[in-house]
Amino acid sequence: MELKHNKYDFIIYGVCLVLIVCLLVISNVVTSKAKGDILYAIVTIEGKQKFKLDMNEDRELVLSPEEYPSLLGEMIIEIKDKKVRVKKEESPLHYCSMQSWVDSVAVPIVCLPNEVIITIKGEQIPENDWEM
Amino acid sequence: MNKKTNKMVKMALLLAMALVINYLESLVPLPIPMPGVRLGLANCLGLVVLCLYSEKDYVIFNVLKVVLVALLRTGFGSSFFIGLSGTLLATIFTLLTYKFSKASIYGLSVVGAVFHALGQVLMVMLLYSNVYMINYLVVLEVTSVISGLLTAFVASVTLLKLPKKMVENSRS
Repeated sequence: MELKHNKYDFIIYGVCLVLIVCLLVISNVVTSKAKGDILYAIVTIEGKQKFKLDMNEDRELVLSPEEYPSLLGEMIIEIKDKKVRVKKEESPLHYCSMQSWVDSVAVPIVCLPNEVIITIKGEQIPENDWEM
Repeated sequence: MNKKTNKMVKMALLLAMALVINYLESLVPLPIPMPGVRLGLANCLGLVVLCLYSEKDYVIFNVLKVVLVALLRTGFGSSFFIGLSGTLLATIFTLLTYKFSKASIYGLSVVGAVFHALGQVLMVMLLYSNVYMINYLVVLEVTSVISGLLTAFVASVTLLKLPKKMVENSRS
């Protein structure tokens, strides 16, 4: 194995660049299709959709590790002015609380150490889709 | 010490180093507050294994690393499957590039990093049925190219510092 750059590396870098551009295009297409009124914040815990929170109603949702064993500590999800954030959580690097307020259907809040994902939905969701 | 034992001891030491680096890295927050963005410096030891030993040893090293990280720290929850999918995809594409091209350690490392991010995000999309994770993937791929180059640099410096005899004897 060579330890210095060669021409094959630059082909690989070119392919990576094409891949990134393609992903950017796909991302834009997916995001543009997601426009619409912000209605609900969906809280998924341990891979299951647990809460459907009305984005028009300011509130705080407190989740405890006793109820959801995947949580590393108490988690508080806050909805205010049609925006959602993780106000408090326990995780090694606190990325999801650092992400702060989210008001786009295309930007999920991901907290993998706690196995929690929060996504905003812009359309009405049928009630029978829920595992509450 | 016979050759087989010698190799086993060195592989175990490299694996232990990879686990320690992985742990230390998890304690240091990066300036980009995004899940999945990390330097992946432990991967430089995987590249050292690929350079010193065989493709089979590289696969064993990578799989053992994921299993041991889960066993010692993260557990066998969703993070294990996310890590495993990233590692398997990265290992497969790194080996394909290694076999069918003459790319240097830099090219191989970038391929590994890019497919590691892709594997992880695809698994998250699958586990959480969330198509918008693709927005993270764009950022993750850009950062993984940079981290791949950095990892390759560290691995190449490490390999250049090793005694020449050790590098030659490892593959024979």
